[in-house]
Amino acid sequence: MHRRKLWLFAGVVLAALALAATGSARVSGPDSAKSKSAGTLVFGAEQGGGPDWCLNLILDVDCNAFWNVVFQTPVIRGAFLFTPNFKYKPDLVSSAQLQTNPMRVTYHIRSNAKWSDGVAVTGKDFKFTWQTAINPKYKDHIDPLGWEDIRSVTGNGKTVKVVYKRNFAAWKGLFSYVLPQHALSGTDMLSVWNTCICNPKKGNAPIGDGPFLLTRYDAGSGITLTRNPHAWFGKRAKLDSIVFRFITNTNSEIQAIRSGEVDAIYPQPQLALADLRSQAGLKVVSHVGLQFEHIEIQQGAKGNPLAKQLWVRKALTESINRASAAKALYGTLNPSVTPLQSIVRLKGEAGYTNQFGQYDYSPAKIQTAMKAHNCTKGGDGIYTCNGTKMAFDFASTTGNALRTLAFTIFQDQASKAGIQLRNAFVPAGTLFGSKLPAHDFDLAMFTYLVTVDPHYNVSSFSCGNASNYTEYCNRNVTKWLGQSDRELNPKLRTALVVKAGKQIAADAAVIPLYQRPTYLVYKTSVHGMVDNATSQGPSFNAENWSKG
Amino acid sequence: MLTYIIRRFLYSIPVLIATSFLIFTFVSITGDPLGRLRANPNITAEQIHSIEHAKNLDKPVIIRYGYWVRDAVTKQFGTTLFGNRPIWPDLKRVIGHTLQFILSAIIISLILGVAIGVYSALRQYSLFDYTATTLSFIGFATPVFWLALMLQVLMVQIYLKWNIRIFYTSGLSSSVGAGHGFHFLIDRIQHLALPVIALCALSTATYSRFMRASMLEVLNSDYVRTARAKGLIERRVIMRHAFRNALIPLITVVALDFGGLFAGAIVTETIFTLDGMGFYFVNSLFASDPYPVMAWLMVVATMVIIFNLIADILYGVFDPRIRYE
Repeated sequence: MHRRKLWLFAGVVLAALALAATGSARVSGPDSAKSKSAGTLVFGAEQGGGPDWCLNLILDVDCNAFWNVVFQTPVIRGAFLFTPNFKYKPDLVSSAQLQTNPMRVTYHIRSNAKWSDGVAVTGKDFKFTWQTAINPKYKDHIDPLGWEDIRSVTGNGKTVKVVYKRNFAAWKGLFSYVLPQHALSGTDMLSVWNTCICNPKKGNAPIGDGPFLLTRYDAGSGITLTRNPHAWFGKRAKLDSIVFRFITNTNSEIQAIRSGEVDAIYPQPQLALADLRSQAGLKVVSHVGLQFEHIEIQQGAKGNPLAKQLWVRKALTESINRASAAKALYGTLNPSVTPLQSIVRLKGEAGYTNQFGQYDYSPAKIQTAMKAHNCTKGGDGIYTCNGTKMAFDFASTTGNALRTLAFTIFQDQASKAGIQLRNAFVPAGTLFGSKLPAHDFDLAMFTYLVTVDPHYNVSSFSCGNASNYTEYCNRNVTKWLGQSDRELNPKLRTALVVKAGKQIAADAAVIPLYQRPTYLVYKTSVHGMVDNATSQGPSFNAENWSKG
Repeated sequence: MLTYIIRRFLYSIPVLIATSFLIFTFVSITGDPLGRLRANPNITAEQIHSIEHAKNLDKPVIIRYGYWVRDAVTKQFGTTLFGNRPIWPDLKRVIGHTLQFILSAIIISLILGVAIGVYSALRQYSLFDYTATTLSFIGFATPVFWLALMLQVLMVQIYLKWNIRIFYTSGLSSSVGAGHGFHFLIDRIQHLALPVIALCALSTATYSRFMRASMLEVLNSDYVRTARAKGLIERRVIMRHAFRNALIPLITVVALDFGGLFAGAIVTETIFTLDGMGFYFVNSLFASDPYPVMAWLMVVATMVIIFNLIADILYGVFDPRIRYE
């Protein structure tokens, strides 16, 4: 009897497995559901669904993550969008006029811009967004940059006037999403929109003013966007829905697109991506993006004292062959990745000029400099100058194969020039949590993810700024960058930033390495997808995506 | 027996408190939850100081531990450091997923392990025994991460060659079309199959070796010899006298395994992106957020203690020679 039960149980398990195998035979699209919903596109998302994940983008300290922007751009629109050619393009507004003395911006909201519940997008929404951003209650959750410079937001209709207390050059970055005042006024922004983009006053019904609505958030699994059933100000979306499936392991993400479980992915650079190029039915698009790898040289008390001298910093910069490293790291994935020659402007941006080309790899030049400064070479081939060895601790983050490879290359190149680089890799939490803020490093290699606007340079290179980890200080650079933040003429502003960049390069304050490439991989049956290598991400034109 | 259970529970309380304090200290010291903000050049140092203050990150670890204990007891483990996300609903969700995963793996491993172990013992030094022994050693020696990756590659190759999807390579359910009822069940099985197979390889090897050794020991014991001498038929000797007694040590191993696996098969869940306990733990750790890590730890520690106790009790229940005073 017992034995019979045992066999019965085993049989049930085997039958279930057999059903699983047969139930899926012959599929040709994600999740075998194409017959049910031909217009659904499944996109593998590398972030999302973790324990500390939240959707509310206005809380940019808590919830600002690249993938959040990707999920929500098709749902909540902003005054401007970043385009793939690194420029701002009017989106929710048809135009915006800038006037000076005092600075004021007049936005003309598109006449057909409206929320999915039929309420028109108006100046009330702009005003509510600004008031939320400067609400003291949210001061630890919202970056006040720029919002604090606004004196008033007026206009309840389709024309909004924003008057500033003082010039704010990066004004186009404000109102990158505009909140629905009628849905959110009187609510606690810390508790709404954490798991939905919805109207809490209407039973959490999805709300948006873009081509899609966020209709489902499955914690730990994914996000579903469904086509906005009402007209929005742009073209009607071609797809019925987009499912962003959280696949946070890059290898699994690659397997998922190879096996057709997802239609598109946007992964971090990985050597395994090279295999996808040769797979029929897949298209791989790659561009250099707005993330750049660089090396910071500590000039403060906790760094190697030799680095305070300009000629040493120049020698350090010349001791590494950035071109060969870029080729070794990214040659197979994206051959267009070459050394970044400016630290203040990136390739593809206005004002990008070659400022670091003067420091090309040159062991011979270094040897001449060493001799000129009476440095002596030890038995290990490393120079000693004024009793201090030319040895530098090279900090970076552990667990990143590309960075480890980069260090190995740099270490080998520098040793040939008589400079020793010692591995001082630490976990990311230690590097960003203690090493960098305490200025406790000789050299540190890490990535900055920046926006199109050059404002970030102010904090990185101004004297005494806590985010200036290198303790580099040049009063002229600080002055020019400060001026650039208040200069409203884009050409003059760029000129100031470029001038500061030239000086930073002349001072060899940091070593720019290369911009990291982005990779958009999608099935050839998917149409309308365009890689947007800015912080906007690939979903900026989701309404144009289609399948078949 | 009841006194024993109560005593064991009381012993476990200081263990839980000490463990929670140690882990809280380690997580707080080693990680920096504000690291991602510091890497953002647009967020000023003043803002970061303000956030540190608001979230009590500038206070000594012991004070922060006190806040955590208060939240754990009164607010179901409270919320995450960023985003104010309640921890308990997330934890409940991943516990459910992990239970599905490990229960399937343990049941299948148990069935296979017991069957192979018993048959190997009965046919000691036969071709089957040698084959099973070799395979179980391969199972022991195969790293789970490697096997998991190979299974993914295999499924991809099958898909590319024949356009057939037998099992999914990641996730717990289909993004679209998972459906309800029977369709949902099939979909879930297709998603869980690969991780279960990966986990089963080691577990089956362990259980089969255990079962074989235990069975051989019992088959050579005096009472089995007596049963045979009394003229009982061989099947009755094996099933009633040998097999049931040989199961006793395995039951305790499985109970202990269950408690351990409840923490989530971290590697397997990460590779297959399974929204389970192990994956939750890894994500929390990467976010350097001590609060979900602590909540996870308390659930796991409690489960380990409970299943250790269950293992001890089961031993007493099945083996009449054991008595708890």
